Amino acid sequence: MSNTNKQQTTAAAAAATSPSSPPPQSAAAQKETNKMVDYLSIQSLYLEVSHDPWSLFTPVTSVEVDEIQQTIEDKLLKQLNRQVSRSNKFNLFDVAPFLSDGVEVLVDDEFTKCFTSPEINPWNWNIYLYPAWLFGAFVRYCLLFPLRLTCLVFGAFLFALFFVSVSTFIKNDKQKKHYQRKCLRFLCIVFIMSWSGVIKYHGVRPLRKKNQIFVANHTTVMDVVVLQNQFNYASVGQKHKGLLGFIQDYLLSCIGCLWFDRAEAKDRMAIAKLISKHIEDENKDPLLIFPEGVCVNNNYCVMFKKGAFDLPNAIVYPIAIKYNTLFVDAFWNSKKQSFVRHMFNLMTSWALVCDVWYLEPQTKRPGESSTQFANRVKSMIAKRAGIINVPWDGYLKYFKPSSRFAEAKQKIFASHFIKRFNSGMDDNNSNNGELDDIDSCSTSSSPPPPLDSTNFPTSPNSSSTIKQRKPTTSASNNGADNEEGGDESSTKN
Amino acid sequence: MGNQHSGVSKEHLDQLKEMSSFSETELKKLYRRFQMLDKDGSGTLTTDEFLSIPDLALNPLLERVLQIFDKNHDNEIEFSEFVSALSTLSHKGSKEEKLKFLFNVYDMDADGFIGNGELFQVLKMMVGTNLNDVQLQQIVDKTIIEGDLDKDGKISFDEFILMIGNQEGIEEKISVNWSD
Repeated sequence: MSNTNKQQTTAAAAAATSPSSPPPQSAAAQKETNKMVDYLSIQSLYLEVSHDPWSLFTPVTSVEVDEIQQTIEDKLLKQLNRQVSRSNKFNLFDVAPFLSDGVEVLVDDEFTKCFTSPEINPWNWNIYLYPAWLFGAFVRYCLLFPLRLTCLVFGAFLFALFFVSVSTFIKNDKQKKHYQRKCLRFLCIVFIMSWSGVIKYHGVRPLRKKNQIFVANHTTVMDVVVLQNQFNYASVGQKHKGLLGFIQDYLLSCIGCLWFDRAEAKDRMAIAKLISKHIEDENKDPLLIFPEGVCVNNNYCVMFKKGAFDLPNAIVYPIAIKYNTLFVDAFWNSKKQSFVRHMFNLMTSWALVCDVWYLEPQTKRPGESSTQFANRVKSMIAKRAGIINVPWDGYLKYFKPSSRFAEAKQKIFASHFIKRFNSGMDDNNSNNGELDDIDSCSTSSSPPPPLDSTNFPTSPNSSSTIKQRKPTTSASNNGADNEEGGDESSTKN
Repeated sequence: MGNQHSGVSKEHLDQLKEMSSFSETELKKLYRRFQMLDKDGSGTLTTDEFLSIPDLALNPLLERVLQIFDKNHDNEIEFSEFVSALSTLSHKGSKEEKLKFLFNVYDMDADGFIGNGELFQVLKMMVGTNLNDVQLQQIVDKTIIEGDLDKDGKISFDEFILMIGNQEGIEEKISVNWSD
């Protein structure tokens, strides 16, 4: 089955359903977006920087939400064809794939798996292990945690002191930035210390170069801290007012983060231009982007947004981050845990063990689309970090595919029967032929012959029938008609 | 942290184990899944909660399937209902049970027969607005005529089995696979 053919079909099917009345869910989705945006904006600074570095691409208007849904639906539609029976006559059995697929998902769906914390099997309900565990818990919660908290508070205080004095007393701009950045890295080290971070960096730490853009998989907001520890990265995000805005302007200006306000954020071209300009300048800190857009549980790698891979001349430096779940699950499940709770979890574990790999820089190959490029880099990262590569769009966490998609599914299912009717309209005899067929089945009381692909020459034809679903017979219809004709002549008296 | 208990009581678990074909480990796993789906923590699942899974939200038959899951017709699915339905469709369920499940998808009023109107409604769910009612009715009529051996205008479970029960690979197709 040719892939392109299938894609075209599904795209056509999706496109065909889109112009119909505006989806009723868009309002709800819109509401959800707002909720999400609100939610994000009240989070701490680090969240804002890293939770969705492409948050400027977070859809705001219902049109954008629609767009996202459209792409998601297109993708899902591609998986659809296998669910539809190849026969062009209805059989009571035809609904079975829908049934079993639906139930299969009930038990286990890959999408949810990407965003759930891995199960922990209780190991400590054992006479030997329980006292040991109890002792460990005591050490972690009653000794380590207070100690770490003190360090963190003290470190943060020191940071604030340094930072303020540096920004007030050093007048030379270049020097000021230099020391401010040192302060920020100091803060990162304080953070890592507060969870006894054991971070192994593999590979050569890349040197600052032109058109450099770092791309990493995303598990927790602390990814930024883990990476910032080695050298400063700039980030991209949405501009905020109030306290967050102050932090953005005051603290992070020294690493040259790019902030956009709402109005600017809609102008993707302008943003791309600014980003290009930023990465061209070797004196600025390299850009770090999490193209997944959401935190994933570090066992899976969801779709990479192509934004980062769209820039001309950009050299993408993939970074794979894998946390060891032996002591603590570093995944920040933002829907279930508050940020404070997440920090508490990290700070009460024995240690945070993690590996960071700097991978070979990649550039877009000639003839490669940005989506293909994104996927290539994604599979590199997934392979290196040993995580499972899945095609889901992380935004599905926030958006439900609209009912239009279900309609498209129905359309594919229906297309098989429509064919019957169209040919029936063209030639009334075909109906008789079919009735004969039924009679012969019921009289012989044997089950009807399995209606399989023999009625259709090849499967792509049956799936592409959607496009050709017009009363005027097209080439593929003719083919089927001929076959029917053959049936008739054999059954006619 | 390693000290989390799964929330099913021992008796309940034993009861479920007897009723279904699952082992204790499998049941615990299913319970975790159930809890995960149960977003509001009410102990029961509602249609809305199922809709949050992209794959399910797109299934035209979802509503029908959930109605079959919901044996006591309170519009909510308890864990025992969840387990028993899944047990039927697992590899350990018998072929007859599975066919019965499929039959129930069509048999909306649960009177043991697939009537003309019922088949029509289910098909309508499947095709949406892509076929007009006349066309759909034709399909329904043909299918009923084809399967209705005792000429009562309805398809009984026996007739249903005669129609599709001997088809190749039918059992696998209704079975649900999931990896452990």
